[in-house]
Amino acid sequence: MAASAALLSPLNCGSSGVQATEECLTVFEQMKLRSQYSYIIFKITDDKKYIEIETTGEKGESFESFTSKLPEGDCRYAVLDVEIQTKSGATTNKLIFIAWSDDNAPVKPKMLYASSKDALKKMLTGINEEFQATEKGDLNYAEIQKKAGSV
Amino acid sequence: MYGGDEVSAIVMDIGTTSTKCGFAGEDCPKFVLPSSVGILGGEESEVVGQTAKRDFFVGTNAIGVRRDHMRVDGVMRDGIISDWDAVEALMGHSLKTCMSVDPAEHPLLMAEPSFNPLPVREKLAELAFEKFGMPAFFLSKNAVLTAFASGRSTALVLDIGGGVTSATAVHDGYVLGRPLKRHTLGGDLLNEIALKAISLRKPPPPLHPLYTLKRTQLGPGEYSFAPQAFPNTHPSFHKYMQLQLMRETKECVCRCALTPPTESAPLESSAWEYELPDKSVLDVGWERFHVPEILFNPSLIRQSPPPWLRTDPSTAPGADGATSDASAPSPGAAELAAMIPDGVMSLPELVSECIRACDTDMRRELWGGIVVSGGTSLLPGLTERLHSRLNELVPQMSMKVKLISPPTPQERRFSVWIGGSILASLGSFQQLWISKQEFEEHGASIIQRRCP
Repeated sequence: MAASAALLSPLNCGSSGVQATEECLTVFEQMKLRSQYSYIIFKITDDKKYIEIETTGEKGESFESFTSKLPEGDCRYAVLDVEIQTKSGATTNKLIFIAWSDDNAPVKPKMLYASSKDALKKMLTGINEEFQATEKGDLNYAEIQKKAGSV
Repeated sequence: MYGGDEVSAIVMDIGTTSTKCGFAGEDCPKFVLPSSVGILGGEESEVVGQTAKRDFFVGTNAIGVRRDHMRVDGVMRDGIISDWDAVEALMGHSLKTCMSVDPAEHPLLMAEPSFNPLPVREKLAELAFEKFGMPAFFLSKNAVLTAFASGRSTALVLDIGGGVTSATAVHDGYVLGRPLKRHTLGGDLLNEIALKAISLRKPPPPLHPLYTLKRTQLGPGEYSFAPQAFPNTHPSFHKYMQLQLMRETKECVCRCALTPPTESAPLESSAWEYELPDKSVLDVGWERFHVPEILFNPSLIRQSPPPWLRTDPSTAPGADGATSDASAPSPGAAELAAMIPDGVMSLPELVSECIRACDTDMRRELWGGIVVSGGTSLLPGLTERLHSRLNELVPQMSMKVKLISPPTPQERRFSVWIGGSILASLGSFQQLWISKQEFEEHGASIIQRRCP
């Protein structure tokens, strides 16, 4: 599935040439428009050519269950649905892009994920904020809320 | 598009001090050679533009052999390639002699400084395609490769190298040109300052590089060393060898003090002995902490020059300590202080100034991702000292300062090369190469469009 559906455009890739599959986009649209998922975790396939979906979180899943799915000693991308408070006091939901790159991961995956991020991020329209996490301590819900625009 | 997936690419990083080259996909560069070359012929005195043919001696071995009248010169000035014939010789030596490859069969990924001007980039592409006939070529920026290799696409890269120290902000895989801060106070200048300070001692201790020494065997395992005179040696060769000696000394003894020196607790300068190649012993107690300290406090050497250059208190009565030093610096001290270029910022200032020049939205992230790389960053205690100073400089307490330095010395020294090696080995990267055909169609300007 991955190989045939991935070729959106030759320019739609980051500095490494890795491309995101179309499935990433469909699932993301469902998350964006219908709020079906609380998070999506993406990974790069073993042949290092495509970005695919690893897991998704059902609506209402806790933040802890999300962080527990990010592997230690490796890297992932994720989109997380964050509840934020606007200036007027109303609560609303926002999507934020999370780049997970464990400091203890080997150089190779770090390089691969950092240089391929643009390919996925360019495709996921409607996400403005990005959060870089490099250790479990960085994954702090309050910090992420702040980054997403909460006051 | 270049489809040469099956042939491994070559990754090359020409730095001011050393050139790293090797095959993509490997963990460390296969060859590290000096970026200085030995030159014979085409003397400097001749009219520029009419230089006679020059012979180059490239590589650790060739440059280490003393030849009559051989000059030694670096291929770069201020981090930018200046001597193209020498670079060609250097690249040719790396590819053909060191790696023993046919350049026409392997694509080449080169790392370049983030501030490389456009004409230099185009000329590098021309060199690769036209002189060496490489099938494909790509240029990547040092800071981007270092940031990627640490797992970040947004980071502040502090590269403390041999000839250039630079702080570069990388955002989403692109270098931000305007906030870039750099100066030429790197490891090489520290070597020169140490050499100068030692040669200003009274009497100056003899610094005999290895090439001047003749070894005679006295008995089993016993040798005597006597310096020999080689009158036809070019001064630049002698200086190069002396600086190598200083570099070794620095690498062995120098370290950064953990806390900045104060009036009551000045830097330690108790005697510290180092054995030179001729078995004589040099006391480098002052250099041990004071030389690396220049990176953190460039004006320190002006305020408190080495003890042997201070004006004697007995000749300047009534004044003592720091005041007499400031009022009447000895000529030697002034000479030493003049070696530090004007307006040089300390490392922590370099970082904070670079971040301050960036967009406000980005600053929090940059403070939380400062990647330290470069050979000079291996000075013991440097990262600890930098971290504690940056914690004082950070504008808001809520911003977290995080210093990332690759764990092993090789990774830190070669972070640029390692980043390039991984990038060029990715199967998916193969579509990004600029092929020879594309170069011939579009000319050198393609480099600007394809390599950000």
